Amino acid sequence: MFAERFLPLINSFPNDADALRRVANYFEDLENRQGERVFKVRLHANRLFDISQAGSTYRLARLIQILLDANLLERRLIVRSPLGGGVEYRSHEAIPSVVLDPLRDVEMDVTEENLEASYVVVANGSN
Amino acid sequence: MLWWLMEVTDVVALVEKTWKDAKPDRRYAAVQNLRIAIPTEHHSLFDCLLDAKLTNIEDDPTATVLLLVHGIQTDGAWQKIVQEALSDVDKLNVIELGYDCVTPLQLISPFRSAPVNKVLREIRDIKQREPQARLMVIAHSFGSYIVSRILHDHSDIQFERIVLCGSIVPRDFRWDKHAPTMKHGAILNDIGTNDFYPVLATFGSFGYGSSGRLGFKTGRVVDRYFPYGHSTFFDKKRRHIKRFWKPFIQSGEVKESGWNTRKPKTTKSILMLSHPWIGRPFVMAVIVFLLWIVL
Repeated sequence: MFAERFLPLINSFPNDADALRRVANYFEDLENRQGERVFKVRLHANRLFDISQAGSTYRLARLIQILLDANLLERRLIVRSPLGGGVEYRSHEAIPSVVLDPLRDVEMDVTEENLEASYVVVANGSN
Repeated sequence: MLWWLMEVTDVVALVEKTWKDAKPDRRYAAVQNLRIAIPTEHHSLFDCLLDAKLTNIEDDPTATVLLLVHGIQTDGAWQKIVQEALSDVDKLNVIELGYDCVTPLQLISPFRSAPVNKVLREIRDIKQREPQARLMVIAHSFGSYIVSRILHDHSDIQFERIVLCGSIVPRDFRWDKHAPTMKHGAILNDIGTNDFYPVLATFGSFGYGSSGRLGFKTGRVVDRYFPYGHSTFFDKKRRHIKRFWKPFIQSGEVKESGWNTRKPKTTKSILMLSHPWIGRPFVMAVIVFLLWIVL
């Protein structure tokens, strides 16, 4: 069970336990209803904010940090093209300031408007 | 700011400020450029803050941070019980605050500032990291003293709701002066009518009071009585946390205790011992007399 992987985290991070417990409950519910499809889930930061009821940017960031460090989630950053699709990166460090849009064959600046952060579930420690 | 001295709070503030100050089309680049100024150990948090910023997440003013401050000679095992009991309260995040073990000797001595400063530092950190959150506190025993010292000395720290239990705060504490923004009914003092520790703290040292046994008896605080000892509040069988604290934290509702009207009359000896200027000299005189007999 994927949700069970949250248990040691809830014990290790008492001050983030409430938010972690809510996310664990979300995944447990999802797993009960959809089984293995839980590993296909992609969550955006605002969805995680709602699920965890983190309340603040800092607390959400802490939660994401814990889940990424524990290898439960993996970051996916997509620079969206206006025509759809986009270029995917796995870290902020890897993102250049200008990206070639393969659909239009033009360079585009990376801005908050075209950059999207999301997270995918890590199955068995790798994805 | 010297970058190697940078703490989590500084990173949060820096990201926030840079994001706010930069033009929307330059924000991402501006924050990304900050990375070189951030110590490597904070890079992971920095990236997560950036993720949150990209999604335009704003701090929720209805979110609550509940602080739990424990008493002496404990690691606050009750904090876990409270956290579990309140786990289904919406938008509530419970934070356990602690400090190194305080011995009874330190409790009676005037050197008590270390735990107060530690908790104060933590509260300031939380306020900086989550400025919009409503702050509430549950404090037990010496934890109640810590909260009272913080309110007394640092007027910038205010709470929306306070729950005290096993309180050793002096009964004449000026809530009107040190918690002026708190509404009537926002401070709860849960009293154990079998609790001797607040009385012991009053006559055994200076700066403490029997509010956890006799109440504050002021319009600013709701005193509520229970047939409890010093730590019975955390006894799972009593379900005190769910029955009495949960509604208060959730909505400010103060549930009446049936013991308020049934509690036995306080004995004269307890009243005398609880009086700072009668109990203390009396006990000192008894000790001196006993020593005189022995020696």
